[in-house]
Amino acid sequence: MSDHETIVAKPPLPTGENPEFADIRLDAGDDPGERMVLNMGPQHPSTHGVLRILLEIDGERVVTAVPDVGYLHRGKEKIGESLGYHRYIPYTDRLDYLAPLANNCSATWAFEKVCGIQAPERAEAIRTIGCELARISAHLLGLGAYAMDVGAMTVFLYTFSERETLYNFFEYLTGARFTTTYTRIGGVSRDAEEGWLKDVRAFAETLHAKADTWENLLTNNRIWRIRNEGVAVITREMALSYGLTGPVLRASGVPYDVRKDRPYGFYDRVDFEVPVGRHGDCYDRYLVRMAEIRQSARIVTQVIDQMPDGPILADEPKFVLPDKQGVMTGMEQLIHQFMLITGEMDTPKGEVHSHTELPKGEGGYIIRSEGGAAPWRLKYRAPSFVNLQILKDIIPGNMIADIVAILGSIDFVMGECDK
Amino acid sequence: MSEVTQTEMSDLMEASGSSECSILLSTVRAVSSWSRKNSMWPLPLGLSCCGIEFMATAMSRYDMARFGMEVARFSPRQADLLLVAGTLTYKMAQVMTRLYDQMAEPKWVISMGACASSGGMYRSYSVVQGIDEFVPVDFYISGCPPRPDSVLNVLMKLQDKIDRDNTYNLTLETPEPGAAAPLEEQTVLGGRRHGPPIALATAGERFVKPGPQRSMARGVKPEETR
Amino acid sequence: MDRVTQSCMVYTDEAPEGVSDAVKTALKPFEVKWSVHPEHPTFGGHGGWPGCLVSNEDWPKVFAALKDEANFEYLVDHTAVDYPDRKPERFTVLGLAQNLETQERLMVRTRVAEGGAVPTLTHLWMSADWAERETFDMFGIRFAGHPELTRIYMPQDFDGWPLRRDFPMQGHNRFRD
Repeated sequence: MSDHETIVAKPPLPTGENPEFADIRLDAGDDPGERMVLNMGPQHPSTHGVLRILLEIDGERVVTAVPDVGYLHRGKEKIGESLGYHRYIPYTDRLDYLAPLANNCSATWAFEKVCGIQAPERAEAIRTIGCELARISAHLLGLGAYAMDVGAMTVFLYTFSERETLYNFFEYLTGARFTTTYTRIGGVSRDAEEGWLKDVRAFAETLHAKADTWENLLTNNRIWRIRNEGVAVITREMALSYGLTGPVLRASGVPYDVRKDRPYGFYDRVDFEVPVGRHGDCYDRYLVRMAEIRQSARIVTQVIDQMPDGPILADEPKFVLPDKQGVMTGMEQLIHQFMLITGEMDTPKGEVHSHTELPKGEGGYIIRSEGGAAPWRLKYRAPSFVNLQILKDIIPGNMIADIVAILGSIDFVMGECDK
Repeated sequence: MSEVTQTEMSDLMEASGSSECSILLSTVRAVSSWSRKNSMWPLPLGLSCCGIEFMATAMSRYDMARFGMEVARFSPRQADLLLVAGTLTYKMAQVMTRLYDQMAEPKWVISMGACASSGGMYRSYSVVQGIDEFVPVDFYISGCPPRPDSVLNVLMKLQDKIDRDNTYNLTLETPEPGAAAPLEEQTVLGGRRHGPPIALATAGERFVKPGPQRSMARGVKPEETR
Repeated sequence: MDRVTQSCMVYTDEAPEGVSDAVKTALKPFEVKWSVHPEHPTFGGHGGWPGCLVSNEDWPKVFAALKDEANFEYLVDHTAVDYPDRKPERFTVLGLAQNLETQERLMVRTRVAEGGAVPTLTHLWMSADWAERETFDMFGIRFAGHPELTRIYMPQDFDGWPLRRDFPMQGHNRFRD
């Protein structure tokens, strides 16, 4: 593993000779005759989407890796700047599409700061449950895909049947199993019923036993350990220099978690631990994710136990949409909704920074408001985008077969990375 | 299909080692369609959110394997069905057309979800407004993303369509002199490879009636593709 | 939307509440203007982090001082804001740095005209590499000293800078009808 500081000092790399790769610079090195350029992605089952990595290989060993992103750039920030706050919320589903509910909440927390309002207690509690269920769901898919890439197909079947249970919960709560669009500025779109809370609590309690099953399949599996232990070690200094967040950072020994350090929502009223790794290798990243699933289940249980009563939408008619039942039956509410959606909303001017802990890391918004119903500048900090940069540093030196383990352990989503 | 004479029939029976009729008679077209539709190997081009729902379709609860489609191939040369799941950007479009071109005939395309079908929510500077700008599409699935049920529904519809497909019927008529151009000249048109599937053409046989691209590659009327 | 010629921020010489002494000491050698928003108390304090405006030349030096002296070891975010009608400097470049122990954050801003360049931060943080490429790709702001300043999201031959305010939502793409 090379020291990251020496890499900064390297001179600009020469351009590869193949015209197809002319836009990517590769280090030909001293001995170009023995090396070969391999293109991985953007259509590759292990790149979890449309990531492309250009590899320069020497036999089975990778010499240079150049990640190339942007194959899913959909212009989300531009869309947000032209559509406005209310109409941007559906687009947040598709950012980290493994955890739509967490993205909804993240966006709404930022937009509420712009408007200067606060959602009621009950809405915050439901959002917190949603965030944690989304985290479980995202980690489950990440774990399943990771294990399948490394060669353990069975885990994927187990985690996906759990994800289907979670999808049922989402569907009952939000009306959609996948793209939820659940939160509204100043609250949530519909209330959580008592039966739903009871079911979710039961699910969270059984999750520990289920996590034991998955861990039995992997944690002491000899092949799994050989494939992951000591692979792609990220030191604390590297992690900070690359700006990593989330489980990837915590596996390197930095106990940084926005939920703990700057609590929002309901997180200051629940008791949970931040799992931290010691070695910073792929295996530690896997262990941290497994521990986070258990902690999320703990949080869900606690929030449901202290679920407050009350309204789910703030009483701020200047910014908050009326409830759907009223819109469907009342003329005034219909006009109110129409005006807010079409842009009759005047937000205060200013700049807002709101960052929350998403499943992949710290994500959030920098919003510059110049009044009106749309932000002047909306910047989304995509944790996957920041986390992916380190690939060019940790892949070189490893075997080709280790790349899938590294990608799986970083656990990124291209929809979020490319925005 | 040329008719099987009585003598050939008894020869066949003799070859099968039984005087009882243990032979099913069918047309080559029906047999090939039947085997094609039940061993569909999809190439899931999971671009974004729909890719996750496609995974759900293939996994535990919905289990696409029931339809002979579990063999997801990520190499286009081994795939029959290009399933574009997700938002296609202009940067990705050239990759997708290259994948499509590399797939061997016969091949089908399903556009899964609103983004792939029409650009969906993304009317922005980087998003292709429907993959049919680049490749011919057999089926469009609505939804953002579609539920696994509707994906399965469309896969079954595709099987029906393959069953009815007459495109790849072998005809043994002798071509009129000068009626069909040599295969090599037909294969490149507008930069995209199409024309009759080479694998099915044997010596002395010739596909007749080369038409416009869509009807030749698919054998269906244009209105049927929507 | 109305044409906005100036950002809403007000700049003063006095540091607002919430800025630690370590930061004030670290930034003493530089000419720093602090941004506040007197009208709306939620901004600057609760809704955002304290911010300051520095000159182009000071931009990397301020971050270096923050990193070395105030222990801001983490570059959280990096972006730009476009004010097409603001003269002479059209863009504001933002960088949000963080101290992991005290959880203090500081938003440092600098202004740059169209065609101008801002010194790079890649020698301080590796994460500045892609962040600056993204800002370049979206706004066309150059970063002097960046090892490889190319487009990151859009194709290399793309025409235009998508997140500028005067760029149309649907682009001027040659494939469009």
